This record gives sequence, structure tokens and C-alpha cells, in this order.
Amino acid sequence: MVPIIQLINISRNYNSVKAVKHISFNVQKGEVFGILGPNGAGKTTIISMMITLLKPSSGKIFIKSKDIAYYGKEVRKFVGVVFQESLLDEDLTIRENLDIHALLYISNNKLRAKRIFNVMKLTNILSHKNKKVEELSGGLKKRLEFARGLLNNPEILFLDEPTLGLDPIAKNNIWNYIKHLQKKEKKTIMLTTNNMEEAEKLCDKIMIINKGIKIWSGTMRDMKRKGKTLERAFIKIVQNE
Amino acid sequence: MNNIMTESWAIAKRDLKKRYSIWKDIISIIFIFAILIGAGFGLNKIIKNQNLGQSYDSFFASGMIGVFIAILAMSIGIDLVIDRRGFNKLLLVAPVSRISIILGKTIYLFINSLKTLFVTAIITMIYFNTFSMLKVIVLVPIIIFSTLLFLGITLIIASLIKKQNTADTIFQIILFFFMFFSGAMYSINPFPEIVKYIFYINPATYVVEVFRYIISGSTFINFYVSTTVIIILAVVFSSLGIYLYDKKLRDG
Repeated sequence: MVPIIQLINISRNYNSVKAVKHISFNVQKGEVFGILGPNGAGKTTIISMMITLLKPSSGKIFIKSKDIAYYGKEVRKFVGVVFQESLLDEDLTIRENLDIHALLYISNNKLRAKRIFNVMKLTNILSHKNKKVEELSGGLKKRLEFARGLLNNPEILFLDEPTLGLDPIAKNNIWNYIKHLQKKEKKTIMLTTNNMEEAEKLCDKIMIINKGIKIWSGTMRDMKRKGKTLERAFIKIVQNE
Repeated sequence: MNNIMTESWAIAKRDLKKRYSIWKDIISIIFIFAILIGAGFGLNKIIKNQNLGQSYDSFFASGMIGVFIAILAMSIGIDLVIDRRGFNKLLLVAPVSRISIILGKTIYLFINSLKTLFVTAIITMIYFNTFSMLKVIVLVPIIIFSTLLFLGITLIIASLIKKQNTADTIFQIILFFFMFFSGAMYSINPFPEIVKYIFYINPATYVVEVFRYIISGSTFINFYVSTTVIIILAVVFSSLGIYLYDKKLRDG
């Protein structure tokens, strides 16, 4: 089967610093693929290259068999992104935030309104639609970020540390959404995290990187065999690199 | 084309929704008009015998409107290139072209900021008794091309310079250059021929002269020559600016 995401020998340099070095991997349609690594390992840089925010210094990235170096605009139509940091307009309402963003993807007024309604329903924020973002809790804000990432009904959803800074209840809610998106909405999901529990709950496959180098890849079950706990296995893999 | 218009309007709509305020507009118009007239009126009593063909207050006010356009256009260009956080980051991962992003931000600039100058220019014309409908019509494309010119210059510089501090210093120097070597505050005529060339290579000189002609009716450089220079430079600088901006975005 042709992978939906394919990275071939990707590197990225910031001046003399090599942030990502010769990374290759494939993601199959419908999978949840996790990139794990310590802080500063290069996880966000890899995602940034896949969503066309950064240009790789060398190597090729194919999304749905399209080389993103040449079909960037087309690829952006079927990917959704939820960034690590909040990129919401705090002084606008939930509805206004979604409306403005939807204009970038859907030109038909009726379709746009329907899509906004659907994503609010899906992420369970419909009852808060007229609230200003500044009045929302961290968990609700994250759900709004998800709603915005889903506006274009993307086939692939990129999540950069999706539960960073959330309390256990909000975190659990987000994990349930992600599972729902994979199982019911048939989305391919690519996420970065350094939370082992998150990786175990969500990911079908994982790749561990450190200092920009891929040091291990496989399933969570494979990883568990490396140590008594996932945390220990992770530390062992990173330290043995 | 339809796509570009929709995308640009979405971007402009967001900025308008977030930042538009009628009171801010009214206060800005009163403030700018008061500065132009107040400073010009005060200096009118001191500065004499310049052979300006008009009073100094009208000379100063009309010239400074050109400089204000440069300042506003450059501020939006800086925002475009430097601010990669927030909404700009979302724009970069959405299926919108770089041209739409620039147009969207420029539409906002036109609506929110330049209309202030447009209204100020009209009030200034009324104040100096030089108002005509034809001048108002001519003012619109002149404002658009002048903005594109300065926006283009800003995009070129900001895209080529990597360090924020260096860029800030260069922008300050350029603004001083635009202000003091454009004939906005004094006549070009008394300067030695060799110095005049400095004024002639400054794009702001042509913008200042065009605005002066429209608002006060006199100019040192032929109106058609200035207009042609502005249009050519606007096309060249904005095209090059968009190309370099796009390249900078893709290179990260």
C-alpha cells in the first residue's frame, strides 16, 4: 500500500546547527503515528516541514504521493494542524474565530456555515459558541484549536504536543477526541509528544528521535519489551543511542 | 483571481474585525491634521523667502502626507515579514497564496489606515481652498501605488536581513532618509546640483511631489514624471518584494 505520508532522507539546518539529520519514515492511511523525543530533539521541526511551514535543507516529503516542494498549496487543502501554542484570537468569540478561518478554506457560504456547525458539534463547543476566547478554560481553548484544525475536513491531522499544559481531565477528553477522529472519522493522525502515557493510549506506531536523529521506530508493544515501564524503555533507548 | 479575492478578503476581514474603531479613526484624523497644520502654521512665521510658490504651511502639510504614507506602508510590511506567530502562522499552513496574504494585509492597511490619510488629505485641500472632485479621484490610485512602492521596499529589506535589530536600524535610517531627503519639509531648489541627485534617487521625493501637486497645486518635478516613476517603482519593488518574501517564508 502506498503510504499517505512519506519522508525520504530529510535534513534541516539552521545556519550551522543541524536540527534534523537524514530522517526517513512512512505513515499509512488511518494510522496514528507518534514522534517521541526529549525537548529540543527536532519533533516540531519535522512537523513544520511536513505542513510546509519550513523548507527542508535536503530530502523529499510526499503527502498523498504529492511532492510538497511543488504542490504545497494543494497539500495544505487536505491537512489540518493543531499547534503546540494557542493561536486563537482571544478578543473574538468561538464562532468568529472559526468563521474567519473557514473563509480561507470554504468559499460557499452555506457549506461554510454547515462545516462550522459540524466541527463545533464534533468538539463539543457548540453551547459556548458566543463566548469570547479569553473567557474559556485551557481545555475548551484546545477543543477550539481542534475544531479549527478540522474545518477543512482534513485527511491528515498534525498535532504538535496536543495536551501540553492541560489538566488530567482535559487531557483525557482530548485523547478521546483523537481516538474518535481516528476510529469514526477515519483520519490519519501524526502527533509529537514526550508523554509516554499519551503515546501508549493513542499511537499505532512511534518513532523516537534525539538531537535530530532517528534512533528507534516500531510499535508501542515493541517499545514495552525494552524496559519495565515505558518511561524506562524510552530513557534506555535515548541513552543507548 | 476569484480565489485570491476571497482569500484576501478573509484576511482583511479578520484584521478589520479585530482592530477597526470609528473613534480611533476620528481621533487619528484630527491628530494628523492638527500636526500638519499646527507645525506648518508655526513654521510659516519663521520660514520665508523660499520661493515655494505657496505658503509654508500648505507646502509642509501636503509633503508630509506623502511621508506618512511611507511610514504606514512600511509598518505593515514589517508586520508581514517579522510576525510569523499567531494568525500569520495559520495563514502559512492554509491553502492561500502569498499574494493573497499580502493583498489581505494591504486591504486592511488601505481601509483602516490610509483612509485616515485620504480623509486628512481631503480636509487639507478644503482648508487650503484647493479641493476638487478630480483631485479626490486621482488621489485613490496614487495612494495605492505609493503604498505598493513602500511596501515593496520594506519586503525586500526585511526579507534580505536576518537579524531583527539590524532590520530595525535600517528601517529607522530609511525613514529619516525619506523624511529629510524627499523635500517634504523644505524645497529641493536651494541645494547644490550634486546634492539634488540624492533627492532624485529617493522614491519618497516623487510621492511627496505628487501629493504636493494634488493637494497644494505646485511641484518641483513634473506631475506626470513623478506619477510614472511611482507606478514603475511600485510594480518593480512590489514584485521583487513578494518574490523575496515568499522565498524567505519557504526557507524558514
